[in-house]
Amino acid sequence: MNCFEFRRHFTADPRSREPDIIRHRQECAACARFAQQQEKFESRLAEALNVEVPKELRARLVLRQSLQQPRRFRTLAIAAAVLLTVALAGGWWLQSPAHSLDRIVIAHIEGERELLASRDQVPADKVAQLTRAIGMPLQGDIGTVHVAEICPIGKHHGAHLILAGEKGPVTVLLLPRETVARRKSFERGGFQGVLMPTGYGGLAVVGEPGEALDDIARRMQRALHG
Amino acid sequence: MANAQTRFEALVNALGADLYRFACWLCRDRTRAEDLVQETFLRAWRALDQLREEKSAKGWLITILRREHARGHARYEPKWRETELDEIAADGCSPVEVLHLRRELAALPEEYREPLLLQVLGGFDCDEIAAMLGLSKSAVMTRLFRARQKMRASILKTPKIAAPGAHKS
Repeated sequence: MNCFEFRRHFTADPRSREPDIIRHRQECAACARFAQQQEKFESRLAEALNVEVPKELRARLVLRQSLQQPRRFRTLAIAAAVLLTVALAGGWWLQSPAHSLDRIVIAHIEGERELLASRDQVPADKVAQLTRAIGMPLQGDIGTVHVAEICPIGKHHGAHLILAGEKGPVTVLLLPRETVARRKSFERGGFQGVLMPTGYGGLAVVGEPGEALDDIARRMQRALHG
Repeated sequence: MANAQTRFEALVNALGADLYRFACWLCRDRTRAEDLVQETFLRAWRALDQLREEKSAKGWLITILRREHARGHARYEPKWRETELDEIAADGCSPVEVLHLRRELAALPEEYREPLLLQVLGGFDCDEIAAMLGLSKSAVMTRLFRARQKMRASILKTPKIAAPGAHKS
């Protein structure tokens, strides 16, 4: 192997373990220096390729896959949960899903209360991407979004958005694995809220007293259905 | 079912980040890259029983990703934005140099960029890359040579960031 062949091969494949390449590098000082320079370039190249990965990527990948689970497993899981609830309550009182869901919603908001103070502005394409990842895609203008994250909410993951409302921050939770049979309003912990069905899962909108939550909920429903 | 789920999550943990980086550089758009990776892992989930050995997983996933990219490519216009300097995790390396390299990488034609990504990010050797791209090994070597030559030449032309003692080719 001559120096031209070595340098051409080494440029194309710096990690080559071919015996001719290794031997030439050992035998030729000029080509050994060339190889060293090429390896420095390779480490810069590797750094350049090493772009930041979104920290929620893993969660979004697993969540999206979990939404692909066959429906019968979801039905069995809900049935098992209802049976367990009946057994624990002595069998005479059945909790409606909406009754327990509003507790879950408020508990989640209270657990992440510090997010309500955020005044960041999340770009629309990030909101669209995040909501698409959980199977409840919001399209179009939904207003100013201060927070957009995927969180465990109760037993499942959902999207946690915080929008700017008239009276203060409004929390919107998109709950792809919750079933809400009909609209239900509630007050708890100093908040007022509304649960809504959508074609994609449950929707919870929670804000300060006096906030027009139904208007915001309808805005979300329009954004879901395009 | 639990076994498949465990297997799937292990793949995501081990390979999700690498696949995302590969997709970023392939399509030069972060939003599109994540969509590609989502689609890839969904398809992988549905076809998980086709993966016989975990050591083939990276190649298998990259093949799925490349196919998804090819299917969507005709309808798609890349809109790569300049990388913020503070995203660069450089160690002993000028951020300006790495930023310049990124610009050069993004500007490489896909026929040079893709084999380079498969080699550096994917860790595949030239024979494997040739099989994946349907090319001869010598064609792959030529493209890899040209890709690096182009990038090195561009860096050497920029006096501020030329490496000390660098050879001119």
